[in-house]
Amino acid sequence: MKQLVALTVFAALTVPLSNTTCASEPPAPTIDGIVVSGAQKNLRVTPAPGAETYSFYSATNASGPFSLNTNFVLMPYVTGYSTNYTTNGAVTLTNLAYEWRNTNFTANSGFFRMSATHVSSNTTAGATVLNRLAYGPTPDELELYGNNPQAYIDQQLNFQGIPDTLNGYAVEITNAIPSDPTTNWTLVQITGRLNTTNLYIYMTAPGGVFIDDIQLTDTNGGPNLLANGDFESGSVSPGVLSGGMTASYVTNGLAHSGSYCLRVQTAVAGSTSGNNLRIPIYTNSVTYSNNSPIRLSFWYLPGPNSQKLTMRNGTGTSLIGSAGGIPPTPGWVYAQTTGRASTTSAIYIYLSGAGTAYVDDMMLVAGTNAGVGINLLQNGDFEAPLSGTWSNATDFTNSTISTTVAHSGNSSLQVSATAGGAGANDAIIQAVSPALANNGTYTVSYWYAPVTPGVTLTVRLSGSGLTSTPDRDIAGLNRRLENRFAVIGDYRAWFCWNAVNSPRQLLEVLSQFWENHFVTQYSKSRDYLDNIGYDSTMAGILATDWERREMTRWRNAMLNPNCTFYDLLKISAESPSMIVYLDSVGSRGDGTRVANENYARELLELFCNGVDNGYDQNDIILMSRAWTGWSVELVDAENIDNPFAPASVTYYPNTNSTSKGNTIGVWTFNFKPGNHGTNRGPIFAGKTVPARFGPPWAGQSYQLNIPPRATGSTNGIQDGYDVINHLANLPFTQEYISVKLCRLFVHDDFPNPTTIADHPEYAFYDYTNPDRSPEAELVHQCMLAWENSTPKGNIRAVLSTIFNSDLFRSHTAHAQKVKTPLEFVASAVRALKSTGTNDAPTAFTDGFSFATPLGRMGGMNLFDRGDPDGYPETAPGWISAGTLVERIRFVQSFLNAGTGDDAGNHTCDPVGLLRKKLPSGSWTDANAIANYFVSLLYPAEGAANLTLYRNAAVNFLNTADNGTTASAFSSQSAGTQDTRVRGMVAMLMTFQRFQEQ
Amino acid sequence: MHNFNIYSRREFLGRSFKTSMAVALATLTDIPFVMKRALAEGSIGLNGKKILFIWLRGANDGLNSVIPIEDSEYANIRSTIGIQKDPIATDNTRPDYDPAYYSTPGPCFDPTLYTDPTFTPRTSNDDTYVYNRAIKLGNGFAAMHPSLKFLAPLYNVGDLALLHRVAYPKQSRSHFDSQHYWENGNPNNNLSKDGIFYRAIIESGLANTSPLTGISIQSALPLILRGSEAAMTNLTSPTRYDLLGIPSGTGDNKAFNSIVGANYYPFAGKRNRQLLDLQYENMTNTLRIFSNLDFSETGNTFRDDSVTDQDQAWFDANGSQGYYLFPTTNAKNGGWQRPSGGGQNVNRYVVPTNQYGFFGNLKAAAMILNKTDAIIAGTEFGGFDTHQNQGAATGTHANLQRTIGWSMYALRKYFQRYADKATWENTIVITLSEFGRTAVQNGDQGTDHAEAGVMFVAGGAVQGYGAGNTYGVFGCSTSEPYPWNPGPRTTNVTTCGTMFAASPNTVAGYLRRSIDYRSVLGEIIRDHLGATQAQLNRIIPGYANAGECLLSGGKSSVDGVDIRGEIGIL
Repeated sequence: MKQLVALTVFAALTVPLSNTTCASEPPAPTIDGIVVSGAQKNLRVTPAPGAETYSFYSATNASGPFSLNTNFVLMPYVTGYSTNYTTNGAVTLTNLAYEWRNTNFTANSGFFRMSATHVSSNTTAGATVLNRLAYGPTPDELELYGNNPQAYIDQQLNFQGIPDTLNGYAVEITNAIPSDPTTNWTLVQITGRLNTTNLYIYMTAPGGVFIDDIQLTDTNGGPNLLANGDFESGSVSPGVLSGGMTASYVTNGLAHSGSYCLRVQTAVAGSTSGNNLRIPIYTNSVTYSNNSPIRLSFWYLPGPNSQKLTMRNGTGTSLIGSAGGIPPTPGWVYAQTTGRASTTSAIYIYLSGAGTAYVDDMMLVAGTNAGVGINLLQNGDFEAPLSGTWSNATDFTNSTISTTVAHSGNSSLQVSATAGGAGANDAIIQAVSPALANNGTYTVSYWYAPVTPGVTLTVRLSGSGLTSTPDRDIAGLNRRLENRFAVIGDYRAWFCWNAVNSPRQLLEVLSQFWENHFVTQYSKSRDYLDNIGYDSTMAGILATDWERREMTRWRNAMLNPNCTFYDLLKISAESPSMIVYLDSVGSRGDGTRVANENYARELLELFCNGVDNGYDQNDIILMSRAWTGWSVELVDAENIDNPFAPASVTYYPNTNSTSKGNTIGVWTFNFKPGNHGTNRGPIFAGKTVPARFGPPWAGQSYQLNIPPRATGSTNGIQDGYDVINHLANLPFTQEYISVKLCRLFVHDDFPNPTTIADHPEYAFYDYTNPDRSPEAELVHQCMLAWENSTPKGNIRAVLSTIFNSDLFRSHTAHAQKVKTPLEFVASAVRALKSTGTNDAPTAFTDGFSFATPLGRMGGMNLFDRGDPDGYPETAPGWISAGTLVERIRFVQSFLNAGTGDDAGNHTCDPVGLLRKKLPSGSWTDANAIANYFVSLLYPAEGAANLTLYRNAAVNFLNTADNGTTASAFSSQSAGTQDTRVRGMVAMLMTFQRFQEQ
Repeated sequence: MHNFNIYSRREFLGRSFKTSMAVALATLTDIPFVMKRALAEGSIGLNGKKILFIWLRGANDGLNSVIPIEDSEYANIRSTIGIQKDPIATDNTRPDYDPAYYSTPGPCFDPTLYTDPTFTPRTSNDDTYVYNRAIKLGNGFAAMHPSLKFLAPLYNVGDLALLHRVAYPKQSRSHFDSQHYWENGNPNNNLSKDGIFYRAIIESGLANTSPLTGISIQSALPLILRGSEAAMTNLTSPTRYDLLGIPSGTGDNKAFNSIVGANYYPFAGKRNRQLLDLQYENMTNTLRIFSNLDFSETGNTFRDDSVTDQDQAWFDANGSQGYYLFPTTNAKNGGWQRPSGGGQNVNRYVVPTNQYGFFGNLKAAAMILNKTDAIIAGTEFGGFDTHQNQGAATGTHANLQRTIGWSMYALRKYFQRYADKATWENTIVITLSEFGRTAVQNGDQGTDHAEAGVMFVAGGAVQGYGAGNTYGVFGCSTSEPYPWNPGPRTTNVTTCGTMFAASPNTVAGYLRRSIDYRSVLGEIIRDHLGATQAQLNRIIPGYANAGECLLSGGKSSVDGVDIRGEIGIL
């Protein structure tokens, strides 16, 4: 038989639409081969991107005429068999591929053509836009923007105009109990080791405070080693005032006990060497000696400057006492939650760990309206003793009624935990009487004042049908982050929650991009702080705050439409976590010391120029000196933005303050002039921009001369700013950052640029070559936008260039990228996230649930990347058999609401979604349901290309759980239908195509 | 039990057709290149020879692993982080004072047997790392970090090669570039996105036919095993590689079957689709194999067959077996848990407690090599970027060395005692690390990025001390080809000490290379794995260029540095 000949004809019939440009047509389908078996002709074809339909034409002569042949149908053929392992043991599976088959083509020879119609260019661009500017489309966004990408681009490029109501919270600053300055005396009591010389009393800053009844005794409270510690003689004698402290005097009328107290006031900061009150230690009558255990106690009246008071025994650090400031008025948070009761009518109040919190004005009412109706709790306002109404179990036996803190009335519940609670038998408990209706709907509401950082409150009814955790919702997370009360898990949850839910999706995508570009490592910061003397929990809280503060600054900077790359770079350079991460913190260039090169290297290689792009090792060495002195320090909170501020000496009251762990201040960027080295030559000496850049850059000198600055002067800080100011707009930086943004938004294949002429990338980015690739041209356009924007380096100008490029809007970008783990889990939730009946979300995550899956999908531990190149943006870093297993397990857990921790605390309701989106007549229609979810999960793939996925979905719905028996979906019970829809959606989301974006 | 990998020609052809559809390039008459190679040459994967690699990420400070102890400059430039000589060589008040101790040839001093160079026997009472001085290597010049003491037994039986001054021309001091070059075998070429071991497996002809050829056990598949034409396997966590663990009820079979079936759905070509398809297929193919291996903690029963570290008390109290080979818990970490009421002693740990995850991965890599047809397996651990406070005989870097030393000791015992498909004679263990660190310590008591470093190579077939070679240390001697020149940094390239002369034209303060890492890997891939020279020329492209001198040594045409070529360790 004569061999058939296949002709391939490209006939891409795109539907013209306004608004969007899509210059490059997608590749056309091709016929790769023909298998002939009698009258059966099997065409094996390469599909075309976005194909809605395929049409086949046949002729018996090569010259035609070709006529439409509708007899070709898509059919499977067997390619082999493979054995796979399932829960029921090994099964042999038939491996199939698909071909277009015509069974009645009887002519001896034939010629075939095929053509395709495509989804509209708007649909293609719409899918790309929702997958790149956002963490994947939601069903509602797909309806709004799936065919109108320009509207989404315009909206997201101006994300500061999108209301963000998610993170808001309100705190009511109140303490119902009025404070009385005359009765507000506060006791400080610490222990340490005796120094037999003197007790020094001074202020670490100008100011004043009242003190009284100073006692230095043995640890059992024996005789006072100070004479006249109560100042009842009417003078400071035998103490001696010196320097600025001579403005202090003993006064009567405001004493803690007796008639007199000491009014300390000074206009000069003191120390043990002057401007102090020196009280001799009276040891004649007792047998104390140096280093005996000793206790210091004194009373002070809290005031605006009282935390500057320091008492020091001798000049060493064996015993240092300090006072606190005015105690903060409790910030009361209102919380309410509706849920269902169980058979046991008990309400539990507990904390997640050892610590303290206050609760007041708690109401439990029937129905869904908080505070409306009869309060089913007794003593919910905590105005009466706990006994008889509330019981304290196990770790909460120290809980009590507080008469110094209250939201209303005269008292509140002080929740005191020695360890984390659990509810029944380990909480503050009330058995609600009369009993609640089992499964009845109730609403709890209360006011809550947190105290201990990192400890969270839970109020719940037995059975967990009603659980209130005001610290873990998004507003509570935000509140605790801003109060520097949060641990890294809280911050990750806040970040992931916003990635899924924020309407400012581009801001979220860019936040992760810059965080990952200017990468720092939470655990390195934590270990640094841990070594200083904080316990591991506090070190973690402080390290979390560093990560949050740099992110907050980036997000605020990006909200400004004129945000430049320099703005973002500066924030990174000043971030304490960066200073610790790349070892500037202890780097010294003074004298003959060799500066640490780490930050200078990565600044060039990873943050600005890109590796080997315009610099050499010598430049790194020279530049490393500019960063000497860039360090971190603990300063008073008001100095958080002052890099020259002195170290804070403000301590929590009532602590022996020799440990950093007792300090109150804030760790921040601090310049240490003594570490700074000024001796350096010009950086990039004699270098000019290579020819490949073309105009306006080629040939320009970019030598950086840092002017001489006085050794040991605070002016030395300017060296660092000179460096980043110079780097921020170098053509190399413009190029490398543009390349990274193109990789993020367009596709992976933008290689790193280089100035080394014999590397192949040099020619790839030769902007003088008229035949340069579309990728090189897009980078070039980004650089021009950067160069010509006002102000120069405007990030939105670069983004706008990318979003309006043909490359981005065409099939060249669509579905060309693989989701990172974060993009994968966020897009999985978003794909099903709408609002169902009763305002219930059809997909939900609490944000915390992402941490474990992200770790498993390739170690994507947010804010804790070990290597300074950040997490990969491209596919090979994430995709291997092991990580795919984790992705599949996540999706299956998420959809099937199963047990285990693969998906964490998620919920989803795909049936709720389809009931909202489809007419009721379709709710039991397997074809309609399959069509809906296929189009939802694979927008712009093209209906013809999705035929087999759609068939698989329909088959899944119409097949019993054994995987083989036919079982019509429409005739199943609601419960079975729900299970099948979940399983079918899970299956669609485990397919390869859902890994793409 | 053996797990033979199944590969059928029919399945192979079906898959190759699908691949051609996915890339939208090939025609039906194209024979995939992997098949052409399979028909051609070599015996990679057919001769039972295997490689286990361990990546030391962050750049190991080779000068403190294998120490040029007789280079008088060493003590000067490492005033606080240097490893000190044993008092026997420095204290002239001792009766056994021997200033020539380190410069006298002989075997390696073995601190697993003795606590000092006068051969005081170790006992069960001694702390594991009680010996804290530079361990004499017996080539008259070099010594070893005391935390590498478990390498001493390997060294003295000739199973270990310590290769110093290993690097490549025009060294990059970027972690990421340099790791890239070590893995792709193409120095200074970032566009080359295939790994050396990936190419070796492609040359074997088994890629895409055997479900398991190259495998890593770590967070993601490393470049060294990555390429565009075939899928190697990565296990993120060996104990979670189990789709059967999907916590759902009745939908499982349907979902699972659909996942498998989805491998055969044609889609329009896009970037990364081939990667995804290959890795999905790899996942389904390897599930069955791994379901038959027990990676769990209860399966971690592998023990030393002799009195480990002379700890007779532990041996006697534990059924006449030595320490656990893969420390994954405190109880399995050396002699921490003392026998019969002896309590717990942190000084008896053999590795730091933060390396349990690594040893879980290392165990999985060893088991996979031993129980399946996999040819190359590996894992990694990091923390070597010791810019500050790296410590000396103890501390950060010492802890990392402990992990290296014990890993090799344990692997030798594992492949000797539990040999199934892989014997110690047929297995080579190598370490990779992207570069060495600055010779002179910095102001933070650390070291920065520099050039040449150290490679560790171990295996029954390795010809080290007394086994085909006079010594087991190479590149760290004054009396071998391209000798190590002791001495200070000068401005004269010809007289400058080796530790400071990175290239013939500059005095940069970096250790100068004399061995190219590609020569080491090349010798192993050809003489161990079984590649032909022609295959090796494709696997490591530099071999085809005689000017690079990777085979026989000479002056590198790339940068003019004299290098040894292949060492002859096999």
